[in-house]
Amino acid sequence: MRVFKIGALLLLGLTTTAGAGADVDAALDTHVLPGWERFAAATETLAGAECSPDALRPAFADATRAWAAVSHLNIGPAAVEGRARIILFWPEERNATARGLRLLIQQGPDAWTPDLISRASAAARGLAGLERLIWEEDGAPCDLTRALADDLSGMAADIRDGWTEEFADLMRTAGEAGNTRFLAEDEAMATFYTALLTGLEFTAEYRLARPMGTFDAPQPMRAQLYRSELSQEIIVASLRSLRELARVLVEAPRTMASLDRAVALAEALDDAGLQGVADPMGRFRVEALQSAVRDAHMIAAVEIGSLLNVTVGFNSGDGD
Amino acid sequence: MLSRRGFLASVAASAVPVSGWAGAGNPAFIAAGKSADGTFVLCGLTHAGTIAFRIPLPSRGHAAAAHPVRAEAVAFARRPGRFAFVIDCATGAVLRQLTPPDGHHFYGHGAFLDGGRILVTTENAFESGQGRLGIWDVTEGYRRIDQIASGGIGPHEVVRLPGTEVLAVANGGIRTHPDHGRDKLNLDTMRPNLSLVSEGRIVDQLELSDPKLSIRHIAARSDGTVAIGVQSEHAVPRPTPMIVTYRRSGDAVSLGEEFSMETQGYVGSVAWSGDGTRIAATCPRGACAMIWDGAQFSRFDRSEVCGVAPFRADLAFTDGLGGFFRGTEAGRLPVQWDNHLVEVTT
Repeated sequence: MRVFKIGALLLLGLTTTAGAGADVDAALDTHVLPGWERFAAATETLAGAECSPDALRPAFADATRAWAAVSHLNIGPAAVEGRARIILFWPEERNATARGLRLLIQQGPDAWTPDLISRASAAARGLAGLERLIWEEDGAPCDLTRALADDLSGMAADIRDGWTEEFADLMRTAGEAGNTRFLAEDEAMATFYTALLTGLEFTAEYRLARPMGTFDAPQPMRAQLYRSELSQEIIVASLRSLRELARVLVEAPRTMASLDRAVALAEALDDAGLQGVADPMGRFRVEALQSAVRDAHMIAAVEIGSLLNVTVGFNSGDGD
Repeated sequence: MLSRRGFLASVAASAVPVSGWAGAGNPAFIAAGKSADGTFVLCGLTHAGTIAFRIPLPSRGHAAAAHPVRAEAVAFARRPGRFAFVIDCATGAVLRQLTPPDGHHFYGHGAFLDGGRILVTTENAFESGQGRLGIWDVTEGYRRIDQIASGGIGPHEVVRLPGTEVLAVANGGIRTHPDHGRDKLNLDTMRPNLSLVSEGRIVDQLELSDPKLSIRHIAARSDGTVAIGVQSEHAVPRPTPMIVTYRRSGDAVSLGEEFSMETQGYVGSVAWSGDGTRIAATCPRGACAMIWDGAQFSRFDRSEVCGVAPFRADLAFTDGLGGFFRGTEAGRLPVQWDNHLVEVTT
């Protein structure tokens, strides 16, 4: 069957419009689906944890790390019902999380049913609300913590199921008749390429830039999940995951080197809650990390962008 | 004020014979976009899904107004825009450049009145922040003849109610100033409205109960019912209507709250289907369009979908990946379509 094999390879080469080595299946099977599965499992563990700080805190940290590793995949089932935005409502303005939680507590246990929680303020739901309850209140009131954890776990399961039951197949069948979601294979690749770039941008321009503030006015209280001191771990988990995505998308050595450097700086930061931005030395280190992430973004945009030759739209990112 | 005399004078002026839309390759739509080489263009699109013409633009376009008779379109810059081009869609020639008066900029949309004798443009008188409608006499080479109040701050889309000389103006309520780019300067006090303007006067006005819902995109059905595509400015997302329908002196009907979380409360364009039975609201931030058929919503999942217009009895959509969907037909063209798809009505 040697001849047939070569024929199949040639055919593959001819039909892969998205460039040599690009592989939607590999991205789905080694990156996307396992990532969502881990997040669903971690939130299920959190929802089943005993109501004590010793049990809740490590489970919350696991769920947060699992979330960080998929947080750039805000597409398909993660966007349905605004789930990704609710899972970690951040950045928050005007203390919306505290206000949302206060309202839920005032309303009392009658308001903590799955249905009512699903209609509560997005700012109080998900990891943002849980962090306050678990780190500031030791998980009390327990029934509310449980209800928010169940709600989170339900969203995670819905996202996982949406991917495995429908959305992954839509991406695999990009370009086939009847698939209007992905009219060509390069659109599925473009989706991952965009996810990679927006993930890097989010870390540089939000996760790092917000607490950095300005040199004269650093804003450590704006670090993501600094109360649980998970800010740095989120960045590490996200960067590692983005490196994994870049690796399966296409052979891109300059991008990999830049991501290796960013991951190494993030791992070495030694500033769990990014509170070091308040002093010049700490700020310098965070700034170096930010520069490395921006470099990786720039290099990936050029290198992977030209290798995949994909089109990235502008309508979803801006408004008018 | 656009006086009755001004209107009559313009009606009396006989239109010079010019080439009609057939000479432009029979485009059914026009849309702004970005070519593969990174340049910005205005294109005509046919019912068959092909590009009828392609004309370079100096910077990113937003929307266009198609002249009802002549094969001319006025292409507007993305706000805050200082240019609008009158383009001969048969030859690709730029016939005129329209520049707003000092102290004004264009907001990106316009509409023709009076059989194409008058062009109306939405503008920002940016020192006062008051919304204006610029009035241009087409028969005199698009001469600026007047300006009137739009009825609010931040007028964005303006459309003519079919079969009438009444304009519907979406006063988005958001104040901007060119010194601050596209920053929104008054989110705490914004008060959007839909204004109906006839003979230079505001004859009806709709305000929604929630002032944080910006009214920016509108489409009118033959009976004068206006569909509004809503953009929420709430800092914390909450369920808000995506579409509101309104007919003069009637009640507003709100639709689609259940989808607003996943669409991030943002509608990019709105259109009625050609048979007037459905309203489509595109939601590029939710990678979908929601289509209301009078009883329920259906959904069209597609990344970057933003442009929408009537297509025969049905609907057509364009997106930022080059997709062009016409009823049940789909295809991709080598242009990334920007926000709006404009029907050519002749």
